[in-house]
Amino acid sequence: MAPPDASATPHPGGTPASPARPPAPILRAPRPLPLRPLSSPSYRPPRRLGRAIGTLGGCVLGGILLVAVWGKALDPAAFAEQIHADGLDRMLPAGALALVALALEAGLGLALLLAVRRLWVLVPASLLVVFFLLLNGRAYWLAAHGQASAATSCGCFGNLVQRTPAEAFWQDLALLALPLALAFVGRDREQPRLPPVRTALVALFAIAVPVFAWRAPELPLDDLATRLAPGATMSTLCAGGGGGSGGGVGRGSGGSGGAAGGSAAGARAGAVCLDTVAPELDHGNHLVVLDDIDDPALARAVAGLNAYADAPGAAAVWVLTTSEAKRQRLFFWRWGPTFKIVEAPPELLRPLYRRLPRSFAVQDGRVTLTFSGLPPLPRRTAGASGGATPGNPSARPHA
Amino acid sequence: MNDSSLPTRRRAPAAPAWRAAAVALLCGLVSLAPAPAAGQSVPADHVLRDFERTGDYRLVVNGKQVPAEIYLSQRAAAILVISSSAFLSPVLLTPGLGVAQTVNLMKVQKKPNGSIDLLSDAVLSTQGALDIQDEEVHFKADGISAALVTTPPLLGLRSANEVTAHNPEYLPRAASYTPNPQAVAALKKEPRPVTVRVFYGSWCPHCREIVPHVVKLEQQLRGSKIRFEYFGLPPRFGTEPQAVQNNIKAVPTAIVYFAGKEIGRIADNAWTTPEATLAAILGGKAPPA
Repeated sequence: MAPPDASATPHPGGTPASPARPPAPILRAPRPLPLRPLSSPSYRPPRRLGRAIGTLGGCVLGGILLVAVWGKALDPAAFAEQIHADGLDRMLPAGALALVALALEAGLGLALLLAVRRLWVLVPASLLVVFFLLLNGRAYWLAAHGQASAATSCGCFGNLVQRTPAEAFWQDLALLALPLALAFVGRDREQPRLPPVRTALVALFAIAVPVFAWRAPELPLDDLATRLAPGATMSTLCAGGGGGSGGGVGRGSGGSGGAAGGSAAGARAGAVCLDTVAPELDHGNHLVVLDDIDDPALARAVAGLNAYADAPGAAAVWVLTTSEAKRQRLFFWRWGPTFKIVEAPPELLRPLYRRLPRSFAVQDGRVTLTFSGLPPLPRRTAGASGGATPGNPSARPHA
Repeated sequence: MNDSSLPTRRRAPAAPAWRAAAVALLCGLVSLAPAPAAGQSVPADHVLRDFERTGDYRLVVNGKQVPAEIYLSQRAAAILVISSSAFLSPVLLTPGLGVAQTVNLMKVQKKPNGSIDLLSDAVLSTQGALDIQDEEVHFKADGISAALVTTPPLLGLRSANEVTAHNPEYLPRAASYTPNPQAVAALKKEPRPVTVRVFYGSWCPHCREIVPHVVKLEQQLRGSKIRFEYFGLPPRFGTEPQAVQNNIKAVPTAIVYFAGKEIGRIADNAWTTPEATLAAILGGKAPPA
């Protein structure tokens, strides 16, 4: 039997209790509540729960940052274009700024993933999250007020994921702010400020990522870095249409470029897809080149492409470009292409390449092959063909 | 053959009626061309074929626009100009060669769908080099200096006839489109007077694919209570008052009106089958635009 509790209430009569009577109930002082209000300045969560919450938040946030880093490191040019479009390259060239940002984001992401949740990680991570939210919030506001294309993506995830400004803002708010808050709440004040191994790993990673990004355009990673890969279908390679912000991509304010049309039964409502701009791609064999119409390499390839297009049984040749109609007409008169040149919105084409030109083969609306650069034409069609073509009229009688 | 060896022909200023008659005569001759060609069993040239009417260019001689039928063959990367008021023979402009050549009219074969082939035994007579100046292509043929200049966009409220006259390439595309018969039947039964205004750009490549479908639909709904009209917007229409007022963000976009009020829109992927979308709008089944 346990000894009487010192804090037990004495018998009202002052006489000790008879041994024959059952013992009086033991009264204990109430235990302090395990949690105190969050507003309390001295609040400190219990070590294990706090650590678990902090680790979870940190890992989620770190993972998200690293996925974003992967997307941007594969195609740093697209990231630099986004930096330039946002007007952030006033102090440094956009390309250099992109590498610096990648280093920062990669370092913070890995640090959080490795559970380094000290202020030197959490404060810059918070600033980064706030910065992303400000950018997306601005884009959202501009789109909502008709001052920017609602189909324009923020670029935070490179070209792997395309989001409208509205989607980007709300997703970032949910994906970044919440885990950041959790990482802050459960930050570990007892671990060393600079854990040597993990800090070294973070530093190495922060250096390695920009180096990788710098060399990435040379690596054969186009299929991985873009949405154009074997198996992709014309009706799913689309721009716009997300979040109900809708609308075609050929904005009147954006130039003389094309506009939204329709086809692509599988596409999202309001989207412009590859088979919107070239419905013929859904049927038969096609060889498609993505390029700037002013690219000298394309001009040099016209003879070979013409000969290929003219060969019996060959796939139909297309050039998809963002160049406006005037430049296309000039190209026609200068080089005499026998293949089709079709204008497509930049928002549709940009996620399909890292560098121009890029080419792909299509069979019945499905991508079967991709090529970095111009397509490798068969030797016999690489130059002017032997038949009577506009470039070789010898087979036709002349006066 | 170079320019100096060609006989020059000075034309007296022609009256518009004479020009129109000449164009009609030339077109008539072109349409008659298949008969002798078929009789001679001369096949079409395997490159210089499939010339289709284009509204991208107009022919200018001495600074004035002259009547002409202008055809483009993507397969041949060439343009064929037929203008009896300017030239004795059809003129072939080949950017790949950088030259203008004339061809005997009897070697031009017009097909039932309106496109043109040159016969394989057509003899091309080189007239001179093409001179490309920004948006204009200058050339000489039959001793006449001429230029192809880019057609300005068709603007404002227009009828289907005006639209197809400006963009003749819409006609064969309209002819080849078959609207959904059930949707057309439903639209013909529409009891309310409805107006469909199509905001489009005569310069817009996607309108070339889509607007002909509307033209065909309009033809099939002739006599119904549904009226179609077309509003041409310029290339940079973002600040165009009509575009701003009607919240047109992309072309083509059609607004469906009943009793002066907008009851729906056809845009983006809804253009896949405009007749079905229109039927859904009128039936109250279309999602809000």
